[in-house]
Amino acid sequence: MSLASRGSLKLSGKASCASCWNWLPHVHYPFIGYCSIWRVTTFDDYYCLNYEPVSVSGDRFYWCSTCKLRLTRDDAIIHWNGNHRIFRAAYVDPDVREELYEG
Amino acid sequence: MVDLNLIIGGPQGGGVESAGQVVVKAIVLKGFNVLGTREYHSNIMGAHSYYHVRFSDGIVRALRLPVESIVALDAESVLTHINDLSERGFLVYDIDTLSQDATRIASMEPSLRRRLRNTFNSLGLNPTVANAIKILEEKGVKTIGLPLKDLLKKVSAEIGAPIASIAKTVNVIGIASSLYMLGFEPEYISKALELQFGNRPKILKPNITAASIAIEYIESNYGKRPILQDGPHKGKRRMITSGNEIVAMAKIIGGLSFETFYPITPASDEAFHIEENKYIEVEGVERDSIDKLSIVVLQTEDEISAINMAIGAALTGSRAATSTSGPGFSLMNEAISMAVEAEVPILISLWMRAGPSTGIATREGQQDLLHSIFSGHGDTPKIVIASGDHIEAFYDTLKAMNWAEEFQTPVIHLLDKYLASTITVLDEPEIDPSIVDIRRGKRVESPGDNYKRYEITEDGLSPMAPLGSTTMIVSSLEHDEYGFASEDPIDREEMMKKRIRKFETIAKSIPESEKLVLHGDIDARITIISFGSTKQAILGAIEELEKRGIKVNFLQFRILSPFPSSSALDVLSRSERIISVESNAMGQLSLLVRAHTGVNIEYSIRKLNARPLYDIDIVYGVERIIKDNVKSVVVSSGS
Repeated sequence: MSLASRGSLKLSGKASCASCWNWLPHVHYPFIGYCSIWRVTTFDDYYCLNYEPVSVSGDRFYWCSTCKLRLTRDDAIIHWNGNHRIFRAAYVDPDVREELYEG
Repeated sequence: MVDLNLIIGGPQGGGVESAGQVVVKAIVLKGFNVLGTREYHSNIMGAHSYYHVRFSDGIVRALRLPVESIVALDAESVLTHINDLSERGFLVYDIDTLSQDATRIASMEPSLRRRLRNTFNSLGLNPTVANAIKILEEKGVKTIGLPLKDLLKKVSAEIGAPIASIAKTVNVIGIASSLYMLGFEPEYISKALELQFGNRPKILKPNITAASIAIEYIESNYGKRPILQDGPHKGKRRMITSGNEIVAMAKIIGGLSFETFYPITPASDEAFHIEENKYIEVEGVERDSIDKLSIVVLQTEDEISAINMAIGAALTGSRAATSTSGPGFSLMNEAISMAVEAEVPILISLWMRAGPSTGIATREGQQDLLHSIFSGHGDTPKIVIASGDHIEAFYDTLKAMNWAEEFQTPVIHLLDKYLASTITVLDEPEIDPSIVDIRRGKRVESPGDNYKRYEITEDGLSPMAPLGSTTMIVSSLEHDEYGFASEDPIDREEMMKKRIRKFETIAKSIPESEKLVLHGDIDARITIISFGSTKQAILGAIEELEKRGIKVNFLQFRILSPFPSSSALDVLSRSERIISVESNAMGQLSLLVRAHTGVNIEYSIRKLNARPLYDIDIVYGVERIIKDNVKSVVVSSGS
């Protein structure tokens, strides 16, 4: 389904996918990501009414897209305080395997 | 004369590999010769990787730095390759990366980060992409900033496909921009994309749209580019192949019936390629029977199992091989010893990489020469052959399978990471399987009751019957002529002598011309010695040195065991200065030459940074040896 047909997705300012809890940035190209609510890939400056700001609170893993690292809550707080971009998780393109080699 | 180099850099898993392949295809369609190799990190995903391509209307022997074009798909690529770009070159980068700072790029090696910080700080700058662009522009480099996100949005709007598909076109936007800047007409880029993704229309369409949007952007911002004249091979039917693929092809054509492997870089792609292509049509054979004729490719639980299964298959009469790299080869040592004792024909394709131990698993090294020759405990003579390029790798594979069976011995085929992952283009006549017949040696299909598997013969070769055809014993134990275990002193001595006689037969049977090759003028006063994939870089360097008035010849060692001592000595005794060129620290070939000929190799050029050897490295090394009279030069180019 195209984004246009979903209606409420639109371009916005600060409250965009780029800082939304429901949005998982692409592991390599973080201006693209996957919305876990709409189940579509969007650009990071998209916005919808389901916007929920990222917060580091619960005892879980987080994703730092600045460092491309998965973090525990305590580490996520340190990265957050260092102005890194923290997300709930990362989006890995399923076709990424075509580009990878065994170690 | 066209002779250009380009690099495409980005995060591993971010489309660098397919971008490189598309570039190679576009270049071949345009009619040029090409060499392309991938350099990737062993962390599997995310770290910096790049594809380096050189193309020319002449012969392309080796990659060369600096390059004329860099496509940087991320900030790390701009900063990593800042010194690799020619002053006449251009950089394509994403404008959204301008503010990124090397000190905050987590995937970058800390040592590189530190070096960049020191260099930039010494200029009074922070190590950001914006400052890198400034430095490059001051050098005269043209910089082309792409608004990557906006271009992707445009692609998305134009074709209405999900953004997930559009995300896969980032790399194509980069390479289309670079190829267009180099003078490639858009149709070559589209055709290359069709060749790459033709069977996947959902991927092809966004990529073709992305390429045309990128070209449109370049044209409107930098003007229409002059067209690069077509190369001399345009329209010819040619073959694009990697080293892994060409060895796999030779194994298929050469009648291999059983290949084992345990996944390891840089060997695995060879086995994968055999598996993908194991069903071949045979004239006069019904399609239903094809399955029976196909090759068994088996991924085993480890390398010990891989070689032992191949040994088992060989004993039943199958043409058998295994492929691995240094760490896997270490595990195979005990079984290699057994294959010598039990006289089992087996080919081991050993794709060397940078050791010791796991070392740098995905990088170049020539460090297993002595390991291969001395592999296995006890007196374990065997054949070791090293290929210098793709064509040699093809024919050597065919010959190695023959020798294994003719001489009932393990044959170790030395290849390496550079050959494995380097793509080249060949003309059809360069690969002619009919040049090497399939020869299987002394075989008995219906042995009598009194069959002696290890019959004492003058040439050390006993007729071989497949297991199951009669009663026979094959084991790792010393044995009598029937194969029964024996500790009798006479039996032992006879069997030791038999194995050594066999090795002498091997030495006599393989023509000297196949053991070593002298390239260049025999009367040159300087001789380079080397083995393996350094060949083409050395040949390129010799051509360049000749232009600079320095005459050098090159003695390429092809068979390292049995060692061609007297022929080598003939050449080496004429030379005033012998320089060994090797990508290992010990000078393994030099040690071998000294052991077999008594000639001490005083001069050396070594590459130890696990990157490919470039022809310019050797030119630099030879000039330093001559002008500065240094004995040893370590060359350090490559990112």
